[in-house]
Amino acid sequence: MIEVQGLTKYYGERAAVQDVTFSVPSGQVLGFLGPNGAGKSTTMRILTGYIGATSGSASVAGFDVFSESQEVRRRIGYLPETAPLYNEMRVAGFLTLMCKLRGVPPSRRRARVDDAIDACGLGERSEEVIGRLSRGLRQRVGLAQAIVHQPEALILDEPTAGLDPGQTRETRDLIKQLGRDRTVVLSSHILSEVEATCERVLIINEGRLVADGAPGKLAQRIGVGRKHEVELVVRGDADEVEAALREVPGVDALSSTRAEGGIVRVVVGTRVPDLREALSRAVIEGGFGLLEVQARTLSLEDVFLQLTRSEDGS
Amino acid sequence: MPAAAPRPARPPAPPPRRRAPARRAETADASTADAIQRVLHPTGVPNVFAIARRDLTALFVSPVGWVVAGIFTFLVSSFGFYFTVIAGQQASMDGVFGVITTFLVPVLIPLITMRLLAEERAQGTLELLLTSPVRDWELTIGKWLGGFAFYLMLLAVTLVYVAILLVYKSGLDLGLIAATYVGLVLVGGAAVAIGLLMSSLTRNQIIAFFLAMIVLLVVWYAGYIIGYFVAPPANLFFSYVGGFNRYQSFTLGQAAVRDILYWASLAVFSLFVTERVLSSRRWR
Repeated sequence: MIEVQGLTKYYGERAAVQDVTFSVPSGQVLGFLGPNGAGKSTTMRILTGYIGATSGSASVAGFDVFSESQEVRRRIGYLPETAPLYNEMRVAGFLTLMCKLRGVPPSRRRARVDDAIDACGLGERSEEVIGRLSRGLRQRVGLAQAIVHQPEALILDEPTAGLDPGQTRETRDLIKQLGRDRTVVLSSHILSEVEATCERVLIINEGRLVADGAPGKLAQRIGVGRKHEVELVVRGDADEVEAALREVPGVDALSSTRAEGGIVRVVVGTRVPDLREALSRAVIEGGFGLLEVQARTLSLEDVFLQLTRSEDGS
Repeated sequence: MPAAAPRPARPPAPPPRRRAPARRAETADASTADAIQRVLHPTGVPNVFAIARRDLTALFVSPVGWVVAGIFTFLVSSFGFYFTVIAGQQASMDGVFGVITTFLVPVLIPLITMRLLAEERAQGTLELLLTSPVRDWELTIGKWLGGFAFYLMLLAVTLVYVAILLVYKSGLDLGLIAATYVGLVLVGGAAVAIGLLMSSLTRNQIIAFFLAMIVLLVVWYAGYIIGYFVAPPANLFFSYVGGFNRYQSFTLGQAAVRDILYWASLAVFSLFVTERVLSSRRWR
């Protein structure tokens, strides 16, 4: 559905996107993950034909985004960052305008507008002025305009930015629902969002693609050979507990904090995948009281941080 | 035991739709409307009108439109009509036309046009339009038409004074007045196009306003003034290209072809450059 080959975009001297290549099969929900300013929006703007690329090629549904821009634009729905809307218009009027501009035949406009309004839960608000809507509702209107002409692919730039947790969840559910029968590319700098909604994640940093895979697998694959951590809560004297734990083979690093009532919280760094048993044995054999043991698994968040940190060792 | 004949599965109930009856009524005459759209849509005309309509409506919803309309009607009725016709005892439209050329065109038109593209750029809605299947020239013409329609409305208001003069004075030179209106329509079309071009260059409406005002004043007066100070034969050139002199013929009742072409080409050139500015974002 979407093919991107060696895409590069320079703003003056600065490269916003460098040699990015990926493809999205039909029906996939793809998450574009990266810190702010990594090149997510630039890539999306190129895909939607809003700006040109310096080099490389991109196509949507077999149409080149540069030479056949009109054909591409007919087939995509795009929600730009911050959901720009005409504030003085009413919701239904705005969606009708967008239908017109996207060539929906007059007889189907009403139905398409109604469908989009229903899908985005805007039923009660269809006659309200957009400028008076809350942030979350505006975002929904933004989504509604993206789907109103029933495009084959949806490109959503930070669809949940600036929403409260309840709204975020609603929007996510909506995206999942929309993704059932079309291709969706969404960008985010929030990991849990991508984990919750996407089948596949691309991590982009400083304009370059640094990882590509399913959210769960990505964490696993990148986790290999990296640090693991075990956290223990122990009752006993801090120094003695530390001394006992340092004896355990495989312990590379150790830090502890004292809590009230003679309780110590110890975080152990190790390269051994699971050191919980050995550590708890050491605690018990040392005569301390073991209250909690927990292995900290590498979350997508850690993967993200490790990949996007500028080469300061791992 | 014989298997019970499978009951035909009931189709899932369609989700409740609002305004269902209205839609059914719509489909009755749908074929003609759809057929018209199929023919017209590739030409870009529906998009142009959709964009123009939105901009015109936006002007009436926003305070700017009303402020411009208010200031204009005040000036045209006081300076243009009262001081000339009633206090000055001259049964002529000169005062009204004077307000249009000295104030409506160089000051109020920039107020109308400043937001046309600068606001879209600032709010990000330009991205929404230009990622829809709308061609750059459709957007350019649509925007221009929206601003121009507002100008024409203001111009139409002044026809009231023609009507009043007609009632009280016989033998009014209607040919002269008509020619002047033709000139004003052309001048306005070009001025809106220039304002639109300036609005396409920036995301700041204030800058768009001043740029447009400066360019319009230069177009109108510069040639005229420079013509006075430059040694002949260059002075002839400057006073010839000045907008002021190219408008004079209309006020004398003669719509000269060269002057019509002058204003029309100014409009077309500005619109062409605007379209280039819009498409420049896609340059590699």
